[in-house]
Amino acid sequence: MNRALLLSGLTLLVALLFAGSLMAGKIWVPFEAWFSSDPRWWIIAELRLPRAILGLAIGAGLGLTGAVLQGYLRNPLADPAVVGVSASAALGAVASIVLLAASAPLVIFAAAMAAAAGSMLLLVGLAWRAESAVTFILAGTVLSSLAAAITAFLISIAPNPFAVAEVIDWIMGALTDRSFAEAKLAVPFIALGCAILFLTGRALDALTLGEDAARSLGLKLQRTQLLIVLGTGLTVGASVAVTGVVGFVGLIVPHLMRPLSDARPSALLLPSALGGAALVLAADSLVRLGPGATEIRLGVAMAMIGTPFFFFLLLRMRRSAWI
Amino acid sequence: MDLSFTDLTVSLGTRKVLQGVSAAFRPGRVTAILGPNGSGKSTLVRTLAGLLDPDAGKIQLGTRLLARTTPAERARTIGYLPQDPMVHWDLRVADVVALGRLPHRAPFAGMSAADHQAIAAALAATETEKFRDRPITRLSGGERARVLLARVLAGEPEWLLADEPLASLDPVHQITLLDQLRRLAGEGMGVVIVLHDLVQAARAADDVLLLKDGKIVAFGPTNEALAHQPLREAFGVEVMVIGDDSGRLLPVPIGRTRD
Repeated sequence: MNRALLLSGLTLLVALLFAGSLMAGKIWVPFEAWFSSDPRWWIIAELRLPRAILGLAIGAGLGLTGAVLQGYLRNPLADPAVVGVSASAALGAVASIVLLAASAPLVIFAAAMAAAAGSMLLLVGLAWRAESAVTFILAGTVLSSLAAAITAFLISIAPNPFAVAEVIDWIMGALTDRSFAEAKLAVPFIALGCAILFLTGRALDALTLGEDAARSLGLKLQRTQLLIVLGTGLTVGASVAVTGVVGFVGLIVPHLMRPLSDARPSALLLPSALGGAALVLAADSLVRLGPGATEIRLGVAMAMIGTPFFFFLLLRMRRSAWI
Repeated sequence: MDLSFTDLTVSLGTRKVLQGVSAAFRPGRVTAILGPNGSGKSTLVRTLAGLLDPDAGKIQLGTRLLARTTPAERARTIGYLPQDPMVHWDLRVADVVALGRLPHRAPFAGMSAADHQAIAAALAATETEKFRDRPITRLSGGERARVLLARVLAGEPEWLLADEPLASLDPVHQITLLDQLRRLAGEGMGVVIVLHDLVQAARAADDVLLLKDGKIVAFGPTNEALAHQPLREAFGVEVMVIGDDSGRLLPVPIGRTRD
């Protein structure tokens, strides 16, 4: 597909879904009520706008991170979870809830970001010198498992059932009731992380030929690794710090974009960011439309849409390999 | 400019793979590196390509020390063709070849007219223009090897280092590729190839470097280096030397040397 057409199509889709995300919910706010004295406008301005902005930023960040990591690790199954940042950020947030009885967004955010930064430092320490992506993926998996284990431990020693409920509620990522305060905290970090990740495009292209060939082309792979750890840490850390863990976006979106784009990893970055934003905005609008007073958690919905989809994708990939 | 190395010592882990080797390769010639498995052939070309850091010794391009050049400068001068002909994503052939231009391109800049010209020339030189819009995974092994060579040529390097470029190619494609490399040397490029086959080396190389256990057994014109005594010493094999139509001497291994 023509790249300009793809990008403008995706941008239009994101814009439409953003508007849709402002309208959709338990109370439908039609376009006539926008920018008016209609009280329903306040639902948009106070509740849905920060939520849509966060959905846009987080979706773009996760989609982009997924595309970068799949390119870097040359593995179509890679997603932000393999680096261990999501699990570590979640651990930080859970620790602040359980140990400090924190409920203020700023405290939880700071704890999650601190844990994400700590895990990035560990990751760089473990994978440094070894320029191979294999060490990187192993170190990330170890960190991820460790963070998950400590999180489970913290839940088991939680002082009361309310803290447990709060933690579980928080781990199953959602954009419900997020305010401008949280958007202001997270969006700058996500934007910075995305900007850093966009710098890796050429290195990702060169890595298509393997690590030796990439280095013989004059690339500094340690620098690439550092950029990727930093960019992923900022983007995913800040996302998890305000919404909890929302999986599958980073895994699925690059796969959806690959047939529409050309196969160069660098050509996949921008479409994946836009596609991720569209997917999260759409999913977050849909979860509000279920019956009853409550919403399906976004993280749960994502997993429920994502898993069958991914299964379907695997089947299709296998079939095309047989032809 | 010569590509020379002096007292080069390289370790992989704790093992000393190259032990103080020195030689000077000349541009405009095909130099073949031969030796038994584990003798340090790949390690030598990987070190010359700047992928491994030597423990001791120096590598020079003319009078310039390789250690003093930036990775991009080095990449513009020395092209490296790895042994593994892997391309991880389903890139178009033209996009694969375009990767060879990376060391020439300014950050964030698109491709210049010179880039497009070099890519077209590399596709032409390897006779791969007809595949240019095809995905690389749809090509046969021989076609893919030519495309990957085109990728290196697109960088317009002064030196081409190829690590076992003939592995996994059938005889026709082996001969085609070697003829291609000879042509490049004829145009002034320095060509260094790691080979396994004595006959192919004798056919294609102007000079041969024989390695054994990280040391040089012989280095010189092909007929001298691929003679009975050095081959006995390096490989422990006896050869029968036969002459081909053009008068080249081809050593054919016929048995093990008895101690």
